Amino acid sequence: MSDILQFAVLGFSTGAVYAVLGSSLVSIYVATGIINFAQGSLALWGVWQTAALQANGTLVLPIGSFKLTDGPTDTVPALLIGAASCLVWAVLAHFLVFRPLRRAPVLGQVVASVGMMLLLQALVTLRFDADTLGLDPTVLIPMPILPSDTFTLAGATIAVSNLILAGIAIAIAAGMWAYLRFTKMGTATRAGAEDERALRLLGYSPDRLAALVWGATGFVSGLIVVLAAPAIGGLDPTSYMFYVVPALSVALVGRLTSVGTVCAAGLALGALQQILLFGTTKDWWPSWAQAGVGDAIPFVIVVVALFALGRSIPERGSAGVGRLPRVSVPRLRPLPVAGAVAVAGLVIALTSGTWRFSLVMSAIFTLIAVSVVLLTGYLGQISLATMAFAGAAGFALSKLTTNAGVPFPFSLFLAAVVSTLLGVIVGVPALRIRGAQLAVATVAAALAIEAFVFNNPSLTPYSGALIKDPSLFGYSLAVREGTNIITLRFSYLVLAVVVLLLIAVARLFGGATGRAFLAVRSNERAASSAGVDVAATKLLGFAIASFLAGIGGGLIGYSSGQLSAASFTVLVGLTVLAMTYVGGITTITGAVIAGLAGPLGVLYLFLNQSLDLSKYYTLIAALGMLLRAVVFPPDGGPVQEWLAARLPRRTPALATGAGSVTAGSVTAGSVTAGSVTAGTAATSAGTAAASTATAPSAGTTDGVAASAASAASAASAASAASAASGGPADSESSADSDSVTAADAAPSIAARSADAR
Amino acid sequence: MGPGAGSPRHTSWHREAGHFMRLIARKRSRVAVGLALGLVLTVTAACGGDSKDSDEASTGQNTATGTPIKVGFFSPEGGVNTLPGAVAGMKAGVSYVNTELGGVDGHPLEVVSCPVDGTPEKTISCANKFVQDKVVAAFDGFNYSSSAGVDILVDAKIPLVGQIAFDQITGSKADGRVFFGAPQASFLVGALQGFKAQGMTAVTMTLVDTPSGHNTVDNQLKPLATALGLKAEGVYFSATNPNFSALASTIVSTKPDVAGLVASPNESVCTQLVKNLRSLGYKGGVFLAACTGFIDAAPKDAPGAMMYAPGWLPGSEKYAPAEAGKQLETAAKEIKQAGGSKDFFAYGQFATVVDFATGLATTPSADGLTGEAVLTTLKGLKDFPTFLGSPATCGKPTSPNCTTQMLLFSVQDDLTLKPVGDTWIVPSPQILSAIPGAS
Amino acid sequence: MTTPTPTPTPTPTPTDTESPVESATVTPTATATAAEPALVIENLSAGYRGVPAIRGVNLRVDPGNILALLGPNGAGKTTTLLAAAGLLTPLSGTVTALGAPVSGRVERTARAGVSLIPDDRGLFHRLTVIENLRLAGGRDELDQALERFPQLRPLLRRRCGLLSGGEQQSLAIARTLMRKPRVLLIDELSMGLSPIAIQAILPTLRQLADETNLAIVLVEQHIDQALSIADSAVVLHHGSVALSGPAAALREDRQQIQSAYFGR
Repeated sequence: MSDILQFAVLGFSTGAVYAVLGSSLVSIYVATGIINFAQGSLALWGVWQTAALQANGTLVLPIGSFKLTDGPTDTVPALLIGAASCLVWAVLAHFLVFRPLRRAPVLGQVVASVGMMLLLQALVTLRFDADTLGLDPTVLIPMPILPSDTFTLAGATIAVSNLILAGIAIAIAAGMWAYLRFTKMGTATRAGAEDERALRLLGYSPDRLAALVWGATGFVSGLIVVLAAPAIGGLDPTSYMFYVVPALSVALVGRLTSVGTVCAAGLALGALQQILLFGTTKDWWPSWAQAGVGDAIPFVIVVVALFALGRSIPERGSAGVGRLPRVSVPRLRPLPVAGAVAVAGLVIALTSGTWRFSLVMSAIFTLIAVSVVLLTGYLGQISLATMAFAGAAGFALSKLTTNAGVPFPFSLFLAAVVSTLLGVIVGVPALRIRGAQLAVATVAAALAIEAFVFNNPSLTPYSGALIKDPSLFGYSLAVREGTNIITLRFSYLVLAVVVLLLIAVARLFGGATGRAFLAVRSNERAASSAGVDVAATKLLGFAIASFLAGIGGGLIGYSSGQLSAASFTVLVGLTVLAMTYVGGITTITGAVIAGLAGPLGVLYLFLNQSLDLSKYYTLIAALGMLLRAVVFPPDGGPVQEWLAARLPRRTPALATGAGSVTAGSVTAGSVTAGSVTAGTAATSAGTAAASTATAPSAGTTDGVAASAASAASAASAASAASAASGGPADSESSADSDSVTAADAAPSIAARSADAR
Repeated sequence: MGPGAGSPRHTSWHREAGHFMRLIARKRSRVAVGLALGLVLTVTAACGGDSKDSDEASTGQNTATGTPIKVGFFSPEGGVNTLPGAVAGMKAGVSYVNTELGGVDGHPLEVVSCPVDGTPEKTISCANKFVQDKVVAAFDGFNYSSSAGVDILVDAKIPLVGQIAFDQITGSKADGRVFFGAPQASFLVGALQGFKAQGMTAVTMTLVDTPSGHNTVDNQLKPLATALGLKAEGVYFSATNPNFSALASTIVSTKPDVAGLVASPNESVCTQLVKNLRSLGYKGGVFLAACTGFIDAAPKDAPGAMMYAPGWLPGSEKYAPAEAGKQLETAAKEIKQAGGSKDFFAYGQFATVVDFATGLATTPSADGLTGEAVLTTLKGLKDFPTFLGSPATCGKPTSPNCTTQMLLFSVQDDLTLKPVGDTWIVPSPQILSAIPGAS
Repeated sequence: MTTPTPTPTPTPTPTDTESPVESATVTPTATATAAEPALVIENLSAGYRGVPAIRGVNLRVDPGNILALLGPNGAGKTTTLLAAAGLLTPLSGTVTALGAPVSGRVERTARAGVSLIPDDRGLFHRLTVIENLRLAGGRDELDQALERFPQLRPLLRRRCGLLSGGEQQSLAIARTLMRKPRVLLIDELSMGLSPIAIQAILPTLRQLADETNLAIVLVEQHIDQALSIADSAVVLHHGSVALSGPAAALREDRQQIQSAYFGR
């Protein structure tokens, strides 16, 4: 019993971090509706900053650095400056990234938040190096700040610092709670979570309220991590970044509203993890559960919380959610496709060595990116678990080829079946949750798969996860032959598999299933009323996406002959999502671009070899994500609109008089009603509000029925409009052709809604 | 109230047709762009195939004048597993070989350096590059993911050369690789034997929560300890989420005579652990893998701590034989010139390069050297005296290592390093044979 | 477009807090000059995503006047109000409130004295009544509001989402008045209310306009009731002004309104 008490208290150090990060996440969600995946990374910078100051007084900035004090800085100033640096980053993130994305679709916000997370982590690695610090960063450790006294209670050794940490966490949470509950600004912040427009009408600026919350939460997050770091761990560039996952899990337990619950849950989680760690040393502890238990718990919590409490997590009532990225339904014409394939085959044949290898790897990652396009771009389900599915298939392939001797191509197919099953399992929670919460659940799932599957010693033999080379009818299709690091046979094998699957996916996009996907993405309720089986469609999407990812994972395995869990971590999965978003998450072309930019792909090789910028890969990926999400969003943002305003526009057919004005405005209403993001609007009680929010001119009598009917037709109108305008690549010209075709489509829609009246 | 006049469908078809024509035009331009990109790539590939990083790390006069011997180096320069010491050690070693030793039979070493960061992708990328650049050997650089690239090198008949194989998978097979130091298992067994010699019988080791960590405990630590008559426990800590005070408490709760790390991801982990253990009042033995940084970072907690090494380390001059003492001096000088510090990895990499050069020099002719020839020569070494290490006999059929001997150092009160047992520890061969690749 | 009948020469409106009892006995106060309108909309075109929902709309409200903004569904009434409040950026034309152009930032416009009660009333359902009220002002304003709307007193701790339609409407108005607006824009005040409730609230608006020189734009579907308290009226149809004039005149001529509603 005294052991349990001792380890529970020991867990307060990590628990305090979970509690404060979780409370910060809740406050930020209340103030902005954004789930900030970067909360841990913010604190990461602060920890390193304080350590550097305490080591030799160096203050490190994103560009440049200077010696703040001669020799080590004193403890308290170092602590405050470290926490203040987190405050500065948080406020910068608000102004430069999240404020412009207030009305962006959830995916854009998730990508931006993940981009911020990667950016800070990359910056820490690049900036806190030997040159800037003047000493070897690997010897830096966080210096203890809290007193190190201990006392004995009921046979357990209790460290005072852990109690202090718990106390500070409780105080911080209490402060946040009091601010939100009692102060005028805090009440206004809470009000804004419900109805931002109404808050503005009262003269409040939600942006300023949000800036305050960002700054305060940044400061306390940095503070608690710096204080807890000496007890918790070393200073490596990644660990604190991932604290956001358990923080998210306890934030969800608090339904993203109750700071008190979050604080208690955080401390409890920390205690529980340490008690479990202690339990693993006992003889009676099952050996299969020795690996990764501590990391898997947050996932279990997330899933349970979302299932049990999902409905009671409030969605944010923003004034007008942004458009979804335009979808271009691919048209498969045999000649261009054959031409493209021939060109690809030719380029592969003409190159050799590392360049051909990079092309083949790019093809494989294109396949994985297409999986993301299907699931997130078309079906609208934000999943961060793609690489986990790929890796699961890879490891299954290893077992199938070495242990079971299954021949190619059955081995590859069966491996993908394994990942499909996994995908369906992960897809089940998606039936009840959506948007950023689904993203959280998939991150937790990916971490659990990583912990329980990839890192499970019983699944990974001593000599590594080997994969036998593929061969067909005795003809070897191995990737290597002597000094030929990439054979033509293997390259064409990959090309054939990828092209076949891409064609199949393109056909799917253009068919009924693709339309069903788009309908579910736009408005689940409307899709359901139009006859789409939403649950089955979602599961189908997860299944197909994880099948594609599984084939990709198998091919990755064949490309190197052995598999390492490090290739399929959550970080890699986030990078793949990011690349696909940057390339264009709703088109196969976008997937190709993402493939070109993927690990070991063409861009990677280019950065490594031709430019020697390899250590900037993560930084470039993060900046790409942020630029794409904030400055050039797929659904059209300020830059595109500025360009559209400059280019000559054909005015819509409104010159024919008042009649067409109605047509135009009804169209504007029903088309945008159709593309209201399912993620945040579908669950709101006032579904009428969803359609009237964007189309008051359509008249309040339109109501639910007409918007439902028009939504389904609008989804096809939207895709027809975008197909006719030739895809998302040229957003300027599509802006004008959009309005023309919208006006053309208008008469039929106007006729329909006129009937509905 | 009707909308506009006329049948809307006719006009919209016409407009659709117009759009369709523009669509094709745009698609055509996209195809053109795609083709152009393909051409650019092909041209770049054809022209830019050469390696970019040929590193001539000479700080002195290059006395070797023959055709250079190209070697690759998996340089641990990025990410979490950065080892600046190894980078400096490589530079110093190559410079020493080229200037002081006159190269290999007059042929200087030319290094193709390729940064790795512990991810399999970088290792694969570098291995591919080495094959393409036709190096005759590749230096391991204490790479945790070397297994991702070793098969590529083996297929191309390029030997992987190193001191200790940090990647268990690489260390479990003998083909195509040569490690001048002892296998990982040696350090564990040797350490256990050293503990036993000091009367410590309860051992608790902590490792990162990964498959190789579990493998080490289940397949090495526990059976080896049992064979030696010791009691061993394994405790795991999360790589992303470690809590050192809790870890130290857990370790102490198992009441060990000696506790510590079998392998440490970085110096910071060692330092944190020893501090936390001592702050709990733990008075038993502390074992800190291959760390040396804690001696400077936590001098008060350092005395009594032990660590292993494949050879003599700076700080052990007092107890090392004369020859080794001179070598330590030489190494110190060269490493300092190359900008490195007195670091386990710096000395290790330096020694590896010197061993490579001197070992290769035993070949009848170093002209027109191929990877195969290098491998044959190195594998043929018998009782070969190594730099700061124990005599090397390579070419064992089941192990890539050239020796099994190791040193277990104990930090003295004056912070010097004294070997336990005063000399090399020879791990029991019988026990080592239980581990793949260890003997 | 005809101008509304001029009101008697106004005296300065009190801007500091005063008890409601006092202001009830004071004769109608006035702003600086009769000519300074509270809200002027000139040739306004506004809409969504570049498609105009209203074109060429002109209207003007003087302090102390009530303008009824009428029209069928989809005519552009709400769009006009949104543009006046600063929620919509005009495609062309200008909106001037209290002498200054309406900025794109709705918070600034709100702080400058233009208050909009949107058709969904803009209340925060998860907050209590008193929390909703406290967002709009301090202690004194709160007391004033409760004086004017005593039916809210027993409801102070109740969640706003649990109030009836009439109670919510009173709360919405009470809260908005706490901010001491100079221009009040109300969108479908009577939506979801019984005719009796409507009859109770409208005279309060008239009283406010007379006593505090508040300019009100009232979007309403109950034409007769709106015209009964309004000074002037504007009828919109398909985004343009179809009819405008003094309320008194329009009250008489139902035929004119009807044809404006259903199109000529």
